[in-house]
Amino acid sequence: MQNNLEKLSDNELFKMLSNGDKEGEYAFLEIYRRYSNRIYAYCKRFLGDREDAMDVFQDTFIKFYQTSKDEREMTNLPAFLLRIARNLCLNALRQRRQSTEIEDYMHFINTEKDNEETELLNLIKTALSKLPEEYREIFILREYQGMSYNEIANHLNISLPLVKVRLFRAKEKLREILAPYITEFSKF
Amino acid sequence: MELNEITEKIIEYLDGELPHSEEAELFAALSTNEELRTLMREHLAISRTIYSDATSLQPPPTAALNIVNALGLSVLNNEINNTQSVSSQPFQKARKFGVPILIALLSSLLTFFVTYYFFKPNESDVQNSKSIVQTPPIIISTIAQDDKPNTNLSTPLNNTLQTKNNLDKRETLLSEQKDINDEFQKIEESNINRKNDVNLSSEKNLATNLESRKISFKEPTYFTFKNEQNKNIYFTFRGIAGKSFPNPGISIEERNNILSNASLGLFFTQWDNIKFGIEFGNEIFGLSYLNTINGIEYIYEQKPAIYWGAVGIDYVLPFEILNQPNLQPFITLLAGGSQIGGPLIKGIGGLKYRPNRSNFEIYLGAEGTLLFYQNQKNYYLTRKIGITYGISIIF
Repeated sequence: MQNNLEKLSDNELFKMLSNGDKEGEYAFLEIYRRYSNRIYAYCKRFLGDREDAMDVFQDTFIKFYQTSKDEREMTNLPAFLLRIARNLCLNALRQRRQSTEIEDYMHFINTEKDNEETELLNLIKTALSKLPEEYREIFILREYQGMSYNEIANHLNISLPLVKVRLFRAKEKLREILAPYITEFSKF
Repeated sequence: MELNEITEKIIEYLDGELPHSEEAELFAALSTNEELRTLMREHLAISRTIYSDATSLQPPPTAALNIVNALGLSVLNNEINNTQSVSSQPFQKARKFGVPILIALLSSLLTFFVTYYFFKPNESDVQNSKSIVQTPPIIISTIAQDDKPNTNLSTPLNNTLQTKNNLDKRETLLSEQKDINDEFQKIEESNINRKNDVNLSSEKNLATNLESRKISFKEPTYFTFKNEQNKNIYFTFRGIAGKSFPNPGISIEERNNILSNASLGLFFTQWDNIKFGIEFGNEIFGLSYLNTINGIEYIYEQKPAIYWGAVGIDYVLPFEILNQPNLQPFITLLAGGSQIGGPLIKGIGGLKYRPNRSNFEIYLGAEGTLLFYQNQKNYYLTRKIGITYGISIIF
């Protein structure tokens, strides 16, 4: 069953999903397999906090499944998932700001305990947390989701030049913050 | 071109967004400007680091199951289980099972030794009796059949009979050695030499007792009934390895000490982390008590296998060990009675590990038991500490 589903397109899977039967459940699992890493990476780097990211990640797929029955056509499934994730992330950020602003991005840094951390990666995450939200989001869509400039423009419903400007500023800002460290690292 | 303009082109080039027609112009600028090359190297370093970060980020394995459960997609549970087992690498498996087991083992050993020294085995557990009323003992004896006979005394039971440490008492008892031997001969003649005094148990009961202990080593039979109230049912099987205080020096029951102690339990989830249930077991306890025969007090020491039953509460503490959501500490308290009539209390603490998407959990911990019993109107207490290990099948 699963092997057959791997050959299907996103649109075909989505149609199966809309049926809501046993095949629909398998279709949902296949969609999860295809895009869970991307959605999780987006949530994790956008929100920083592991638990918040996990909550939003799960809510994204739950909401996706629940709304799939209302959607008749699906032209871009990953973008649809990302849109849900983005809205939930923004909600989570708003709630976080209401609760505490001081802990906000300190939390982002301190809760990272993954093994994959390197020193430079830590520095990047720290610098990323200091970026304005709109810059950080575009940076994540580009670097973590691998979206093209056009896709980002469509996803965020902004113009292509604005995408370029924000991305340029985000990357330059990161480079400025990290330049001294990158120089150090490049010596080795 | 201005620096900002060239920087923008460098970024677009690294992102694969720079039109081919503009590449030549960028390369020309780079070839003549070291500062631009440095700038490009810095952006490249950032991109490479982030790429490795992006590819390493994966949702926790529990996420899929959480989503499936939240949506009520029962069909997918097995599918996710299969995926999990197929995709597991040897290292991941070793990490998944090895680390928790090792931690549980170490923590249990630590708890065992701490508890052991805290308890301080005390040989004076047997209290002096002033009673002279001869009441039939209620304890089933499993006095060693193959214990080496005491060279000072001639009867088979003599190695389980010890005079008190008190020297005065010892002298008195030694002076009455003949009477004692006569008494034991009477016991032998009445064919109750494997029972205490005027033991109420028959040979048949003893055989049944021993046989049932063997049965308890068998693998548990797993039930297949459905949980209609949507609450989990835990069928548990666990082994118990411990040491009693007092701890009579009888060797026969110690041969299979680890394997011959086991219990079966049935627990129901009441709230998220709390379960209630019942448990039945068979364990070897060290007993030491006074028996008065013809006005003479003897210390009887035994290691019978005793059946017990208890009701219990199990609480899983909401903590994760080493960031492993499946590895959690637990506490279990059991209160009940034993076949020798007195109350029994058990306290268990340890670690439980439930592999992702599995319907079983394994656990390892330390266990302490208080067994109360009565003989000839005197009450006695046997304490036992040890480790426990087992498995719960979850329905």
